[in-house]
Amino acid sequence: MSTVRRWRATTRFGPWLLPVLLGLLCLGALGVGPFPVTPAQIVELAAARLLGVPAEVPEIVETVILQVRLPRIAGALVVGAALAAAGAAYQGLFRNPLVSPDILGVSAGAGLGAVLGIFLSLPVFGIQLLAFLFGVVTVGLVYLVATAVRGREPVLVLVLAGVVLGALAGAIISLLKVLADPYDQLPAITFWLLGSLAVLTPDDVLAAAPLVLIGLLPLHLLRWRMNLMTLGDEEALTLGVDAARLRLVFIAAATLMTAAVVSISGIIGWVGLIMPHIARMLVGPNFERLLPAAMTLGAGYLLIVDTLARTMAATEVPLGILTALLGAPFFLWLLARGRHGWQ
Amino acid sequence: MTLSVEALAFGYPGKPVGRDVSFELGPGEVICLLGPNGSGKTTLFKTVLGLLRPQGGRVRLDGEDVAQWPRERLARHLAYVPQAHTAFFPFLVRDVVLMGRAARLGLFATPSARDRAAAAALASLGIADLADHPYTEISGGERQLTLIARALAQEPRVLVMDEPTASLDFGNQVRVLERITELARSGIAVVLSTHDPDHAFLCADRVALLDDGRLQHLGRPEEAITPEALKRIYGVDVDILTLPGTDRRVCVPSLSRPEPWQRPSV
Repeated sequence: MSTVRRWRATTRFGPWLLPVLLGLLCLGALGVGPFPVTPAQIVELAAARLLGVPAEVPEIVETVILQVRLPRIAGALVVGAALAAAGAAYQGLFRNPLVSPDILGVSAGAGLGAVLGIFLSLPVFGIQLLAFLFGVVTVGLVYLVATAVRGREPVLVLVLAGVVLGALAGAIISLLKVLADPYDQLPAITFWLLGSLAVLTPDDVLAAAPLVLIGLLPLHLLRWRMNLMTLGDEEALTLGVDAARLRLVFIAAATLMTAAVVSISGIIGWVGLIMPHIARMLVGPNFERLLPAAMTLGAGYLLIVDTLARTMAATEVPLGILTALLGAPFFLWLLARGRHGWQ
Repeated sequence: MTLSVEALAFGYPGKPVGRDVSFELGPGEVICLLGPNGSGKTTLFKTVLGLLRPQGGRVRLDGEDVAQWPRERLARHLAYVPQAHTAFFPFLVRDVVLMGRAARLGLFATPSARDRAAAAALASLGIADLADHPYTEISGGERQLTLIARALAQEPRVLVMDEPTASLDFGNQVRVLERITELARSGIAVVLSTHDPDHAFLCADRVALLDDGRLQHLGRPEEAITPEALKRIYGVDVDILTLPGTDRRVCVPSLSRPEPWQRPSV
């Protein structure tokens, strides 16, 4: 019964404890970096901004906080929360705790779009737009292929179609890498595929956030019905749930969120796989509690990782490398401890 | 509410499994479906539940063809109890039972832990104290009762149970059969499949013998379950005895063992 007691405790304290911790993390992340900023200056600036009076901090501090660190922190929060929410949804939908948001090829497709954009020397916005469109279209194609194949196990056909189209996108990415200019384009492609928030602008965050919110809305409204999807189609149908239609809604929502954030951050693995896991260990599998917990954890985790990425070395460390270096051993540790949160 | 199955032909696309199955199931009645592995019991149930499209004939509830009914409406009348399975995620028993409320709630609604129908379902099966246990940590018998409770939370008039006693220990088999007869007494119509003819003697009002996708017999248990019928569909010799002083019947299979003088000497 200790599991259930832990869920109860976290369900009671989590709703205020986790956001408080997240707020403290944000304050810490604002403070650290090559240019020192004191907590007092942050509070001072925030208060001045809220009250609409000029802040009594050096101008450079204001620039560092508002123009450099704040958008990046906001980006980390949005990207982390969106990936974790999409991962939690997909793990329920595909009844598999080892599923990540890119199971249906959204990352591979977005990667192809971005690489194509870099290859064609498009401006940053063009690259992001192509990444978003290719991500969404890839999942759309996967869904169409899966509905065209009339199998008995629609979920399995979906996953297989996702693997196949993802591999196809990967092949085209490799082709473009071979053809790309090795001094100018190839490094850009490599960095994009490893993910980074280093060049994130406030506009990027403002463009992605509404799409994330639109995707989040159905996940939130249908949060209880998601529980029924974990039973499989036949049981869900006998309980009166139109499983196929609901799955389409969840896939569309999760794809929108993932494509929106991947197009501004590049491919960041592991967050959408591990954070829902930890959330499930903390609050149990009920999606009503799992969704907010996974999002808060995802936001916090990516904020920590991104802060490490920009402070631990003289040059930026790509996020994809860090999330894997931290995530893989942690995942193994979870497996070894046998506290799965699934059967 | 009366479930009428009329000349039903069923199977998978391009692979018919059975045909010409007809029966009627009235309120409070228990029909037990007996048949060997592969005789089409599960396929028949899936077709009755609307998971597979009938390849012929129709399924009616109170005379209305359910083929065009939306899933939600069907689920308010007809509930399904699958075989006790292992869940993928450790939902609490309470949450599993609450899932039975889906057809009775708005699309965006969430049931509360104090939902009365779900609580009543748990209480009526005597498993109220399991409510806060994870479904993955209870026994097979408890899981089967939980799934029955989930079906009852739908407040259905007809229950379809696929081998509710399979893979349960002896005590749990008896307990589940007891619950089934209690449910029938409360007016719910029950159709269940089983592999044990004795279970049909214990709980059924009528027995349907399914072999090779066809209904071989439909009638009172003592008429349907005869040594000849069991020999025909299962291919084994069975004696049927009446317990002295009662009208209770039991099946006693006779093993075709070699006589002592035929055994190889050691």
